[in-house]
Amino acid sequence: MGLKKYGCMPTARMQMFYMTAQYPDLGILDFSTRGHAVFNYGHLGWTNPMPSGENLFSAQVSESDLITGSGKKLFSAVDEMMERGYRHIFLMPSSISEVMGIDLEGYAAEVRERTDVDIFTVKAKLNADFYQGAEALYTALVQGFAVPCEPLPFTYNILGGHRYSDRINHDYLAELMGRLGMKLNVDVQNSPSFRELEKLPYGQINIVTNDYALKGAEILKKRNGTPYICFHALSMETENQFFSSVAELVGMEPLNMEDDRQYEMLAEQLKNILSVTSPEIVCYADVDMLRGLEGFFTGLDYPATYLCSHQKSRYPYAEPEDVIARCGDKLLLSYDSVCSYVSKAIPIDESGLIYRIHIPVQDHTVGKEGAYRLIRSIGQQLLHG
Amino acid sequence: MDKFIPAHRVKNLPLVKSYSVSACGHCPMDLIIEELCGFPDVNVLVVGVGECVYYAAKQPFAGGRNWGFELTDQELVFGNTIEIEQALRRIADNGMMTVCIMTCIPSIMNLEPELPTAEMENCVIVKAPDYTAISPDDILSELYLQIGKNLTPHPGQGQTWEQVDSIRQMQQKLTQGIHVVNQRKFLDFVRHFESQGLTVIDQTVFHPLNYYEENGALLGIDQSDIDEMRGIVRRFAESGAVFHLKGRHAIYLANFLNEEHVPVAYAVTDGADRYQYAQCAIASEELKVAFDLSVQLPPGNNLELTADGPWGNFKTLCKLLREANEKWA
Repeated sequence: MGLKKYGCMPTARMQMFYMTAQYPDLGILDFSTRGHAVFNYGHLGWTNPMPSGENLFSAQVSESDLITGSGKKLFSAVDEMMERGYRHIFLMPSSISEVMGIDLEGYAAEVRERTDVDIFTVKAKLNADFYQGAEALYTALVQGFAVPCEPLPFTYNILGGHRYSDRINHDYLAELMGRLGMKLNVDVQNSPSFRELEKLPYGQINIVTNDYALKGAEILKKRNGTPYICFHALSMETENQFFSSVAELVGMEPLNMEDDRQYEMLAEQLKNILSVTSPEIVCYADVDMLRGLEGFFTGLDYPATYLCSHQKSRYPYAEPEDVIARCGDKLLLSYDSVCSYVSKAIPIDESGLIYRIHIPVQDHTVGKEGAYRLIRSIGQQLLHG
Repeated sequence: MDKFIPAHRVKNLPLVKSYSVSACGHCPMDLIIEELCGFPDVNVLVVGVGECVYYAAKQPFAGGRNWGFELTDQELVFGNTIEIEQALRRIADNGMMTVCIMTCIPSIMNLEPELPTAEMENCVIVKAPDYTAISPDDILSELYLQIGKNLTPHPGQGQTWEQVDSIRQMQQKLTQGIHVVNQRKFLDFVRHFESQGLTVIDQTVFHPLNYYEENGALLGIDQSDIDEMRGIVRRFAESGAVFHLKGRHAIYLANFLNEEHVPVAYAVTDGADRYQYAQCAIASEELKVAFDLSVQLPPGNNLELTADGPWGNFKTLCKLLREANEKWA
């Protein structure tokens, strides 16, 4: 059903924009109408404490362009972007280009013929969701940068990350990897520039924090033999398992992981609270968050229902309307905007539909640190409502 | 000089000053939502793709519902609007007026839900694609016309149209009599009822001074101000000079001065919309215009005016003429 009472999740195109807008040296050309670009630009301030948007341009497509199929504005926009110093351009697809069947790849090829600009585009179906958009973009980026080369020993890349909190999670991961003696090569999300991504093939291993980066990791494995490992840990046990796997992968001695008695005791307390209150728990998030939550609740030996906010994942798909309608008295762990319509809920992610001030506090949502915060939130909700 | 075009050759097309997002305006859908969000008695249904539904949902509504309809294959491939009609029925069941905003894609596809039944008599459809119109602000005129044409004038005194804060207030103000319209977005709507006993005084464009003299009492204008303006205009006309104007109201002022026999050859203003376009259509043959304030006027009797105020308002005219008089002194 097309009716959306509570908004919807971002589309593939929007996700591509949010993920590329962060690179100051990558010009983004939105092949759409003027207002579309303004919406995207304005939204940066809702998802990021330091939005820029200087690298965003719009072809400002009008009726006459649609009727005549003229690419004149696209070429004029590229000229302006080149005058402003952009040598890398992402030609962003739009719903208009999709409905009208406009050949953006053809236009990109023509720009490459006429200029020395490195311009690329990514296809996005009209109703593709944010996760599909992230996967398509990631795959295109890695394909562009994956060249055979000799990796730097004891280095790693982080492939994944799209929300502001992921930056903090990646910093946490980098700190832990540092204890293993591993050096960060490239963190795609936290990279200061688009050019920096050229260093990707030099990483010895790839750590994939989001499943949408798996195809990209596969490409690097095929071309360079770079192994990869996924990180979806949201408990002490799964974090320790991850680091054991990393050590094995790079041929290091495994770290001596001491039992964290404090964590064990807190987990035990939560198990007791769950046992007494017996809530029915529903988790509604993207596949990466759900994998972490499944590991968390499995560790506590407590069942939960897992519903995915996008298609094509291992978990059943649901729309916000359905989750809100079916939730009733259950305890929901989900996006802030979805939680706002449910009586018993814990926000664990942001949909972008509720304005927040993003401050750089260490509010992790992964690993043992993330688990601590989750233990606190769930305990608080169950004991005090 | 090549930045100027003869006023009569201005096309009804959006202007592109720069491709940077900083030079872009909001889309008409956004402007409608921002206009209606404070109304306590209206619902909105945004029909479009995911972007439209997502961004529209960010705006909380004071009283009614702000829902979205994300187009599916039923609408896109088969042109089937049944589900949109069902959605409208569901939203409108709270008894409020429902505005259905058709964004770019449904407009491209000419999707138009049918609203034939009595239960949907309080629904209106506003086509608001972002690829038409010179300026997205032009949509507000269409919005008020679509909302308002279902209303019924009733006996009473005329009104002044400055702002409204509800559909209820629009109905209350829709009396027979003389209506002074100070905001362009209400003009088409109020004019729609001219055949039903309403007289419209358009205060969104400058009129000849005789007009202000005839309607001075109604518009609250002092005769002394009219006399002062007449003196300034006479001075300009008697000088024989041909003027070049720059400022937000340059084209409006150029047309006013030309009517008062003061020739103006160039006008530089900031941005274009349907109203500037309409002014260009009635401008003198000699007038050349540019829509970017960074454009330099050619050498001559140049007047760069910074005075500002509501479009077409007599007080705005006075400020502009006084500033022009001082700068030309």
